[in-house]
Amino acid sequence: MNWIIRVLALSVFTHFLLCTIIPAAQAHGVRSRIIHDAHAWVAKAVFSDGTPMSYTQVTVVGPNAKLPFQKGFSDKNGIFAFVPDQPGKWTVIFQDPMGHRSQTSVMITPREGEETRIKIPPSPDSYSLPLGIRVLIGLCFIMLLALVAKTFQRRH
Amino acid sequence: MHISEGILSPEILLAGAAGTAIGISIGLRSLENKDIPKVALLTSAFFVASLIHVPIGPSSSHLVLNGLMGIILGWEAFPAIFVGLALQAVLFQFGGLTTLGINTFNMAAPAIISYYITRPFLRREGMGAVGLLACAAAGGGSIMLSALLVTLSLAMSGEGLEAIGRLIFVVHIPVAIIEALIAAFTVNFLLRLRPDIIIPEKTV
Repeated sequence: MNWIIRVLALSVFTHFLLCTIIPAAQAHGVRSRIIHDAHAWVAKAVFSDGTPMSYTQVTVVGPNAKLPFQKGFSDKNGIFAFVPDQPGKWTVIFQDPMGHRSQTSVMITPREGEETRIKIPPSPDSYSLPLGIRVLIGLCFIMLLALVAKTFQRRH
Repeated sequence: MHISEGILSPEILLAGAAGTAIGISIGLRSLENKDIPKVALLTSAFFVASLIHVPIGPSSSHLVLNGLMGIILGWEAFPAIFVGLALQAVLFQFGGLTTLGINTFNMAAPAIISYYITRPFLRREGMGAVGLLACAAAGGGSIMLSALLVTLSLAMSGEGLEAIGRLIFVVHIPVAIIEALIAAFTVNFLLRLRPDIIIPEKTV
């Protein structure tokens, strides 16, 4: 049984070394959340006959930015929503592969009492257990599996 | 590197699952009782390594260690990577359960290639500069080959995914460099300290 203790001790030590001493050791998973009131701005583009520019490529450029702030596609109704994170002139460009292009800008100023930078609330972790506990559960499961495999092989 | 649920076509998922099933069966057949602690330890390392992320521009990637696993475990890397990925899917939401087969294949197949590339250079008395280079190439090359397999899996599953695949390939270059160093250092260290871990007694 010595090997189990050795392997488990090494695993736990490695885990704590990675998760506590090295600051870069963080979860790589993703989580998402839908925010109802996030100061979103909505742009809409239509063709000259009133037909919406559906599923068209949209580029959002922030103030004094070289790279686009956001890229995506308009929805079925030609609508695209974005959440600016700073005041200034924001430009939204709709462009379809046929060469149709529409560009519109808006000057965004912070309202009175509002912060200059809009903060999106962090998403809560979708797991109820902390990361460290989940790692330990995984390591214990691997040890258990190894123990079962070793017992099984010994019998055969 | 972990492909999520609902992206790949059923044909790719089935092909990946079949390849993984074959790999696991070969791996379990070659698994000896004395190797189990070694496999368990490397499975643990693989499972935890995914938590170390390497920031790359606006994105990030994480360590995989499949090359190192392949060099040390050979075909036993298949069941080890399968268990590690299954736990990552359940506990960390990396990848998914339906993509477990293709994800395992994409990471374990390069590991097996690493095993065969490095084996001729590994000796109990050491491996020399060529062996060191072979281990580094296997460690880094496994990552790039896995990224290539992920890219191919995405490209074969639908239009518009090639660009994502290319991005995956590019962002893993720094990870490959790190893993090349880890593989060369670890194998060299183990050969000096415990050569029986790398070269089992039966093959000497």
